[in-house]
Amino acid sequence: MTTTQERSRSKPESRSVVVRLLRHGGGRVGVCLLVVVTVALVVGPFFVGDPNDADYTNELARPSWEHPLGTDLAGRDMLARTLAGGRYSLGIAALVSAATLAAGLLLGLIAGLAGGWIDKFLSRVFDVLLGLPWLVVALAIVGALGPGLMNMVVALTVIGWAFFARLARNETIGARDRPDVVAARMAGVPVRRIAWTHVVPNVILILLVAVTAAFTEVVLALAGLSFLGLGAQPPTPEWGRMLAETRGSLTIAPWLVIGPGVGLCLGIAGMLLVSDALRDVADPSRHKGR
Amino acid sequence: MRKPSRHDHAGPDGPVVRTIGATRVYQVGPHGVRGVCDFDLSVAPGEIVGLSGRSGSGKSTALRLVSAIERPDSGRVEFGGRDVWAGVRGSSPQLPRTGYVMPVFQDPTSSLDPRWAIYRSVTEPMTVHRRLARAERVAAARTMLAGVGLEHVDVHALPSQLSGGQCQRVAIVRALSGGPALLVADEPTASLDVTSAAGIMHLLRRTADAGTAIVVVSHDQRVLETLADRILRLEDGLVVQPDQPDQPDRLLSN
Amino acid sequence: MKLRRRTTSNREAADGPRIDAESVLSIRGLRITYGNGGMALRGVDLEVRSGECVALVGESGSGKTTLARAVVGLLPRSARARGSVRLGEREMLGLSDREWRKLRGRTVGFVSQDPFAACDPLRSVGHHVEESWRVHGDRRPPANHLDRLAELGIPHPKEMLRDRPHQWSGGMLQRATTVAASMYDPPLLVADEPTSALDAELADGVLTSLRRAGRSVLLVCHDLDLAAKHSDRIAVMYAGRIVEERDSSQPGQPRHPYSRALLAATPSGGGGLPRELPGTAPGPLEVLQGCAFAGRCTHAGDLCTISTPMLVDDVACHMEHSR
Repeated sequence: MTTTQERSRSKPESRSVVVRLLRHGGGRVGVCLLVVVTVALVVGPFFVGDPNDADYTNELARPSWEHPLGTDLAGRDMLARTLAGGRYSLGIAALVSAATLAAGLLLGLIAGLAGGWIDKFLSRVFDVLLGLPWLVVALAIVGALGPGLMNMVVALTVIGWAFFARLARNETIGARDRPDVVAARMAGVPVRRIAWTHVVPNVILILLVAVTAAFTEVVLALAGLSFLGLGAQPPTPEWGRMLAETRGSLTIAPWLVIGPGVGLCLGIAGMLLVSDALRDVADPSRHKGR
Repeated sequence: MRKPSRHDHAGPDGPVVRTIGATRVYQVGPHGVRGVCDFDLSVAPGEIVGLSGRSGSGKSTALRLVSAIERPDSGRVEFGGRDVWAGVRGSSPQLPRTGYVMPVFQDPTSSLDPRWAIYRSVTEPMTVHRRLARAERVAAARTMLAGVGLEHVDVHALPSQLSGGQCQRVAIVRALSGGPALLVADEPTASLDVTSAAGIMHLLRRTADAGTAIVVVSHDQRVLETLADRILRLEDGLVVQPDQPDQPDRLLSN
Repeated sequence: MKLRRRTTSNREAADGPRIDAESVLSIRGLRITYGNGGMALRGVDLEVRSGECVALVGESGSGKTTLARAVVGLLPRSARARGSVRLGEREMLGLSDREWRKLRGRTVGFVSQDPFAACDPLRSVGHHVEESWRVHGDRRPPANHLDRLAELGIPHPKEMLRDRPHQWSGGMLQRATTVAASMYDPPLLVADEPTSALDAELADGVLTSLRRAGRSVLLVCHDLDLAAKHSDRIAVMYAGRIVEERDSSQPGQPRHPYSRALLAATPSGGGGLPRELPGTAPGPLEVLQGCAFAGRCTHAGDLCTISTPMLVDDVACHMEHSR
């Protein structure tokens, strides 16, 4: 009386990356943080005053009901400036991340799939770009195009995409010998379809992990360039600039760091938590064993 | 004792695969050389041929040559009588038809795309020449999996939700779904429990009985002796004692 | 409080020290639960006497690896254990990591499955062997390791030890690991599938070396043939319990239906195809009612689905008990 029934194992796993991300403890926290920050930055500015409204009679005021985060050297409301600045600091960083991801994915895939001299040529391009010191390149580009936020976006994108391209290329080439890809090749599935159905989803996920992890560096690079005067021009609020501006007044008005400081922490922490969670989702074997 | 090969080089089309003097050698580290030399093999439809040998004996390279996934440095590899590498400059061999040869790997769970429901993996070879609607693929998968005793398994399940033995059956069904003439299996039972392995061996035998030629690589002599019609033993890249059951030499001190 | 069992007869191993009745390892009522609630072991009693080699045989999910790891203190942090595990006179359950680190190597030696994973690929094999006494703070080896390596079949050990692990074969590396694990002559050597990652041909040599190096051995193995050849007694495990114990040299078929199915499924050269066993074993998360094997057993009766058979007279099967 033997049964031929074979039971499938334990709990149902979702195919969707988003669902798995939300099931992950750290991922949930990260996503919540990012959602909170995004909502605050999108909606917040409508509820506060003009960030550029200077009032020299009210410089460096303490936090109060009227100015919850105080005012800066020019008497501008710090809360308004923080919320407005976030759109630049985090928003621009997100834009740069998206651009480098797209460019890197495309060129890396081309290099990995085409092989031959195309791959050789593109790989050299990646290596050269990766070998250049980013600050020098940024200075050169901004020097040529002039200072300003959009030009800084261009500069950072030009510097950053090569890293992701090389990553995408290596993953694509590595995928060639994966057993399921070998089986598809032997079955005669055309290369384009193999790339689209087997390789690309995996490469995208891996690049997402890398891009979310690199987000911190983009934010900091942006802040650094703005500090040097190459990026956001005054009076544009940008957290990096704002923090730099507090230097002289820190002892008398320490509350000035709260706004941009907390904003940076929340944004970066959220992104890093999401990055870690994505890494666990992409490679479940990491999570096991504990 | 060895049972006589039930399909002696016959079949109307001759051997499914033939290698003649195939050699593929490559450097591993400063002093190491691996691969096979002068490898001769002929497999008829419905025959199971085993390749045995230690790690580094060249059996994996031999299998890659037989499956035309790697090009020999010299010698010929023929599918259905035709040299697959003749006139080919790149790394894609000229097969008599697509999906002529299909693989079965050692680790069943990783041999299926981890993100795909198993019905997708299983029916992928069928979609090479014709478009199939999702419902058709699901139905075809159900039928094929029922044929190997997996009728109670959810076709929408992921490989990680199945046991090793179940995954290997799914992998074999995938390999067979396009109707290949040749199956190449690299240590198909090495990662499985004894009872699951027994089931896989039965499945391979049934597959061969239905006409598919099979080449199996295993480091375990006992598996080959019960499964294969013929065994070729490889040592240091050369065939040793072909066509004879290997003398049990269990007292190897090293 | 000494724990000694005296039997009326002492058995001798085929080639090895005389087995006397003193118990080196004594496990009573061991239950182990993992963090997710799964029961890896559902009540195990086992004894290893001085000088003997006991093989734990079973498939994945049977609990044999969990049992071996419990004996060497390598269970994951989330695991909860109940019952008793005594090495000699000492209770091992509940010891801290620090205490285990002092005992591993001296009271119990451990040989794991993959020798290449156990050795640092960037250091020499000699370094790996030396670690076994350095970790206890000794600058000199407690015994002549070169002699021991030579005894186990490693030629020119002094020169060979300078090699990196990848230059040795898996079988030789496993012998080196065996020597490292037995440097302090621990009363018990535990080996967790020591030959599963190696070519089948090398298994015999490695297991023979293991037997020579260890005073008493607890061997985890999934291969019935190998287990029967290299051990004095076999304990067959299924779904977290021992379902049968028998002497390796005992002639005839095993008594438990699962043991028989396992034997029938093992390929033996020259015979026909091994016999299939349909179905899958229950996992740790399943709540079991009655005998865990009942669903796949050809001899199952009514009692089998209601009550769990205990290990009585070396077998846990209602049908056998009623004979």
